[in-house]
Amino acid sequence: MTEIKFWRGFFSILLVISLLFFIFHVWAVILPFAFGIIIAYLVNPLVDNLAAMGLKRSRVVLILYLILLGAGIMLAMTLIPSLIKEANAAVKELPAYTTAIDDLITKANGEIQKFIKPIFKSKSDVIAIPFAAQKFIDSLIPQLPQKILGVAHAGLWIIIIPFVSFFALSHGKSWIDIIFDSTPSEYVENLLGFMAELNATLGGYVRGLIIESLCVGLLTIAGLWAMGIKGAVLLGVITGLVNFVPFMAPLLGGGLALLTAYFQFKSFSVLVGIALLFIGVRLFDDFVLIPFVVGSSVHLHPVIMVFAILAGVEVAGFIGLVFAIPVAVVIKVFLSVALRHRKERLMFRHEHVYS
Amino acid sequence: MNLSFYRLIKKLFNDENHGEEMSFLRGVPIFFGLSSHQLGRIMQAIQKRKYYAGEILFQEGQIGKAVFIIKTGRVELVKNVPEGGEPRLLGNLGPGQIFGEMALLEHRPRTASARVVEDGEIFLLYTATLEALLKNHPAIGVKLMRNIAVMLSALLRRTNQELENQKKS
Repeated sequence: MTEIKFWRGFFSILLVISLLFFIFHVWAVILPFAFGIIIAYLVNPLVDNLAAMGLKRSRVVLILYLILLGAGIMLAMTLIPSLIKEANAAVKELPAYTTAIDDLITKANGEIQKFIKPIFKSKSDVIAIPFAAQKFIDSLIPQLPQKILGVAHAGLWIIIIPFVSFFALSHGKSWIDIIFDSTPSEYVENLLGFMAELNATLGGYVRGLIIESLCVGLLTIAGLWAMGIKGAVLLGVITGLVNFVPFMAPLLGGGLALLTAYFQFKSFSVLVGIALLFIGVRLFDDFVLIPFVVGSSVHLHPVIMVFAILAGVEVAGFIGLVFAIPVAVVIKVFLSVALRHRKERLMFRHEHVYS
Repeated sequence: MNLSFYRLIKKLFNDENHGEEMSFLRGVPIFFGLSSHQLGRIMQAIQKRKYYAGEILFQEGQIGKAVFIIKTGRVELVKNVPEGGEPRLLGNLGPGQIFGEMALLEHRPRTASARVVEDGEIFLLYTATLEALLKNHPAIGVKLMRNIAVMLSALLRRTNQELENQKKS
């Protein structure tokens, strides 16, 4: 019996390691499929709601997709031209911006030198801001062909993601039924209990997180647009995207908005206005969106957060940075549900009720 | 014209299985008094599985996490006795009957084992799924809890009656 247990455990571990190895190697291929399934998971409550009225699931999904496709095309028609226009304008103005930033840094370095030269004498040259915007941009240019290829790859994603999510939504329940039909009967209750707990904890959290990021992005676009900042849409989209990463939205989004506004207006009052806008959005996020929209008690330790972000960047670059925290939360909930199940089993292992 | 268009739309979108499953669930005591839409929501939360004779649904002592509703087939509930004797048969349940409902109220070990004695389909409703549903739709929760209270009260009455009968004999 013990030997059987050992070999079962050994092969289970071997299977998990092989699976992880496989995932690691085909990560780029798996990613659009994973996104498709995530989108299906997010839209599922809406489909469930309509199916609860007695409507055929496959037809509901088809109609929903036609509506979403229409809305997506409309959104793309309004947002993408603005984004392209703003990106083009940013590229055109880039040399002026880099020169201005380099001038600012040279000036700042000069001021620093004036102050520290009497103290550090000849060694004072070591202390300076080691950043040159032009050099940084020049280092990015050789990577451009690769980035363009990345965009072409993204074109394939636009086809794969809706395709996968459509089938996951319309056949989702029957796939789950197949899994349960092939699970030994005595494990069905535990397996489904485990999945139900994961779904109950994570479903609301992940959906809330996406709505939160969408609100933050839209509020930022509205605020920057009202102030007349160039590139409001681009800045809002960036702020919304990086909102998954703690403090990144005000730091990256706010930092870029401040730089843009400085070069556009050269006025201190606008900078204060932008700072107030980002503080306001942050407060709204903390006191309204998180408690009422996300509303979940899933928390991560800051050390885990930093580790998750670094690991995310290492594995999948920018996408890894954006999705590191949600993925870490999924892993945390998965582990805590598994541990709770084990604890319950141990707690009651001697308890049999005889009446 | 309008009527035939409506019929066409209804035919295109109407899920035939939905009505059949709903009329079955309407007859299950725990769902008494729920509206069609509320029952529809419960149906989305339910997991179905085919079972075959001899399969074990749960063992005595295992932590209860779901309530089981028999759609077709038969299930036997048996209880071990402390001295290690022959397990005692508590009941033989059939279509429309429900068991394991205490899992909805508490995370405690099962007090009996359940074994399939005739092939069939069983609906499983998980505590965690139900709790998430009740959080969003408390009206369903109020009706379900009332029905569970009625079922428990009936069970208590029956147990009292059995005790009285035992005392008399």
